[in-house]
Parts: sequence; C-alpha cells; structure tokens
Amino acid sequence: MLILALDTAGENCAVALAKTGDGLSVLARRNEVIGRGHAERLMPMIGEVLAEAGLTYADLERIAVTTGPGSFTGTRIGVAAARGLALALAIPAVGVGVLDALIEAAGVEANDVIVAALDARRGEIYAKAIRPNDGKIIYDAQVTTAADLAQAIAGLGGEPVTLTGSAAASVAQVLSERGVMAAIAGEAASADISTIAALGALAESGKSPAPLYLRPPDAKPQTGMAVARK
Amino acid sequence: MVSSRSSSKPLTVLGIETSCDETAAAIVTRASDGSGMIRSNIVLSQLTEHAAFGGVVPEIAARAHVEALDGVIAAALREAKAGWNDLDAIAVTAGPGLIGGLLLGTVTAAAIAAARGLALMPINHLEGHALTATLTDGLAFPYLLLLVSGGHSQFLLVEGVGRYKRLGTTIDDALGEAFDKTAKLLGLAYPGGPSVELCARNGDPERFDLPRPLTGTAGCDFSFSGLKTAVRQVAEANAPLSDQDLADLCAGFQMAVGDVLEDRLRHAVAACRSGPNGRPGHLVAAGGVAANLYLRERLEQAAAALGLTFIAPAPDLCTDNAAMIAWAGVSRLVEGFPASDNIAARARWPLDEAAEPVIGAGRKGARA
Repeated sequence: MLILALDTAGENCAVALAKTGDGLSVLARRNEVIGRGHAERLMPMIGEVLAEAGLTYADLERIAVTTGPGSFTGTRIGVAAARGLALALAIPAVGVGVLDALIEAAGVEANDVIVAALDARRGEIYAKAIRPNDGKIIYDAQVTTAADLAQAIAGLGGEPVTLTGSAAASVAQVLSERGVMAAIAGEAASADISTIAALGALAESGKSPAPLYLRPPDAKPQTGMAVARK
Repeated sequence: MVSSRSSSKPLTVLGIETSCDETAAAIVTRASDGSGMIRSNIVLSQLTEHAAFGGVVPEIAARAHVEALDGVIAAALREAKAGWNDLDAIAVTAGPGLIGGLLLGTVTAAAIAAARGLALMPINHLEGHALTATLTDGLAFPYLLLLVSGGHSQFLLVEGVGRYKRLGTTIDDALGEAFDKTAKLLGLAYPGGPSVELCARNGDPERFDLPRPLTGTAGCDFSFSGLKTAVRQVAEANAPLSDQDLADLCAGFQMAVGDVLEDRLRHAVAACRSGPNGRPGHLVAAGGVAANLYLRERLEQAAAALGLTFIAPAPDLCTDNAAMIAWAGVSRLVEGFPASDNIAARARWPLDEAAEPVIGAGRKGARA
C-alpha cells in the first residue's frame, strides 16, 4: 500500500511517501520546522515528495494525518488537506494521534508504563499513558498538569515508567519528588513522520480523521448584555 | 469581446466558501451563450453553534468547517450530478474573512485541485457578492453596487470583472454589525438582522428620535456606531422595556437605516455621474443585509426616484453562499485571469485595492 503521511500539528510541517510490504519503506520525505504557515507549505511539499518518488496523486492508496493534540490551526490544516485528498482520490484518510505516535516511537519494553507528555502552555500538559504489553490505556489523552499526571502514575503498581515528549523532563521532575524514578526516551514534540506512516498503515479506515483538540474553544456565552425587559 | 465570449465553450466550476459561519459548496455552469446555471448550492449554516455566544466565534467556526467541508463538497457534486472530470476549475474564497475558515477552504481546494489536476481560482468573497447579479439577472456592466453585510458596508461602481471602484465605505461599524449589536442590546435572538426585522413589523418608527449619521454630508461613506449608541441610550432611558418598546425601537432603527441608505445612495449616484464611466442604469444590493425586505423596499423606491432599476438577488444568494464564488471563478476564467496553485488566505482584502484606507477602519487597514 502506498501511503502519504502528513504532520502539521506542531512546529514541523512533515510529509512522507511510504510503501508497506515487507516492513515499511519511506520512498521520499520532507520535514521543515516552520512554526506556522503550514497552509502555504503543505501542498508544495506533497508535490515534491511525489516528484522525487516518480509517482502521482493517482498512485496514492491511503492518507495518514496527525490529529493532535497540538496547534488547533495547524492540526486542522493537515486534516482538511487529508480529507480533501481522500475525497478527490476516493481513497481512505486515517488519523494518527500525536501522543500515540510518540508512544509508538519510544519503542519501550512491554512491561513498562509509557507516558507521552507535551507542553500545552498555560502551565498544563497534554498526556496519555499506556502499558504496551496488554495495550491498556493507563491514562487517556487529556489536558492536565504534571502534578495530576504524576499522582496517577505514582499510584500504579510500581512498574518501570518511561517518558517521552516535550514535557517529559518536567513530568520526570515531579515524579521524582514522589519517589518515582522515570526514564526519558525522548523529548521531541512530535514523532518522526515515518512513525505516522506506519501507524496510519495499521489504522482502521472508515472514519474520517478529526482533530483531537483536548481543549474546548476559548469562548464564553454572553449574558447580561441586554437592557432590562418588563 | 462579447462575440468571442458568446462562442466560448461551456465552463463548470466548483465553488467553495468558508470565510465566516457558513460551510458552502456549489457547482455552477456557464453555457456557451454566457448564461449561468446554478446546478447545486449547498450551504451548511453554523447558526446554532454560535447562537449562545451572540456572534460568530472564530474557533467554533473553524472547528465546524473542518468537520463539514468535505461532506458539503460531496453533496454539491452529487446534487449537480457532476464528477471531478466535469469540472474546469475550483474557485475558493481566499479572503476577506475569518482566517481560520479561509485557510481550511483554500487548503481543501488546493488539495482537490492538485489531486485532480484542476485549475485553482482564488476569489475575493466581495467579488462573489458583486457579480451575483450578472448570474441571476444577466446584468451588463457598469452598475452601482451597495454591499451591506456583517463585515462590509460600501458603494462600489462595478465596471467589469476585476474592475471595482469603491465610492464609499463605513468609517466604523458595518451595517450588519449594527443590526447584530442592536439585537443583542435588546435581548433579541441571534442572528440580529432577521430578529430586528421581525420585531420592527409591529413597531411605530416615529416614536423614538434616532440619528441618521452622515446624512447630508458630502460623499457616500457610512457611519453606524452612533446610531447603535443612540439605540442603547434610548433603550436604557426607557428600561424596563415592554414588547411595544422593543418593536418601536427596532422600527425606528430600521427607518433610520433606510433614511441613511437613501441619502447615501443619492450621493453615490452623484459620484458616478461625475465619473468617467457615465451613469449606471442599475442599483444592485448584495450581502446579508440586502435580504432585509423593508430595506429592499426602501432601496427600490430610492433607486426609482433616481432613475435606476433596482436589482436584489434572491435572499439566499444575498447571504453567504458558494454559487457566487463559483460564478466569480467562471467569470474570471472567461476574462482570462490566470489560475494559481498558491493561494494565500487574506483576512483583509479590499475589492478596490487602489482605494485609500478609511479612518476608523481598523489598524490593519480598511475592512474592505
């Protein structure tokens, strides 16, 4: 299966063309750290990887896209492009969670608890924790604080804990204050685009990718604006 | 020029519109004789999502667009019984509007265009409104356009596709914004335009003395913030308000707006007469406020008194839609404007780029 993977959820704009078969082989890839402006760069980068691999849009069989958490606008741009391509080419688009991709990329031994934690600003983090041996979700993806996450992790059965993500060091600090020593597998804010392609190849199709915001829109209903009525 | 246009082959364009709180897609075909046909016109309104907030919340709008847009495009194709191979181009609103929505429309359009090898036409949303009458009524250039919506209030001389001369604009609030703020102040349901219009039906427009800002002054600019403030002061002085008070205030507000439009129209026509293109024979009203039936009637009378024929597209083509974007795309293709595979969304994008920014029009430049 020829899969196009897109990641615009964070500072990076990353695109890869990968083929499944005997493992996953990446045919062409681009990664630019741009901060913002994903909308302008994404389509040209897709054109570049197709040209480099000598392929066309018609050759694509699946689109994989990161769904966040991350930049709301960036995530939406990737999801919109993926859904637009899927509609135009009549192929599936699938979503890959940023935290899931970080957990996958950490490649941790089965008995550990692996925690992906990203800086979410405002003193908060986005976090998710799973135990790879049984796939059990220990801590579902949510916006939280390092303290709340550490409390949940410290209350487990004492399994080895591995952290990954841009907030890994700050979570490790809070955990150590609770007597839990955690290993840090990486501090990147996003997984390599090849991991997005690999997870996308395995994902079930049939449901359009949708952004995983984890935070509500920053808006409050307006009340008390109106002049008094009889 | 007309003969070369009339012999051109039929063109079919997919239009995409996501600049505010409507997710819209449409298929429009221009026949060899130059006439346009709307083959589908899907508009998914986000009214209910924004109602509790008394206005459009950009983040909520963007979240709704990304969930809905591909389905709306698929529906537009289905209803038109069209496939990708039937299309000559994709036209997409690239501005002005809420940047979050514009980015989603342009990126989706760019993705589809790249995947299907289609030409991509970035469209100014205001041009869509400006050209609607050439689709619905086959109107010839030049004509005078009154564009009144939640974001814009301006008179434009439409001289041709891509040729717009701004004669006047608002120096503060847009007219639709004044309707929305009045409705909010009076506790009427969102969106404010239809609520104020409905409430005004049982009102006495003469009861409250409200100002007619800028009337009698030179030029055809608008100002509505003082009128809005006057409504608030009258409302507060008469609080608590009865149903009749509300109706009288709404009727008074609407009549004041009607008087302002009438006065400004007179000045706009005078500006056209003194211009190099002579005198247009038609006044076209467009934008969401042009769906207000009271104001349509006032404009029709005022236009007739000035010797102009009044044209207002059907209300569903006055409010935001993608048929007008598709038609603007068709019109630009016919006139030889180039396609572009790099379309940058622009929150601000005046239709008349040569027009001077207006005082009070915001630190980022004129609204339009």
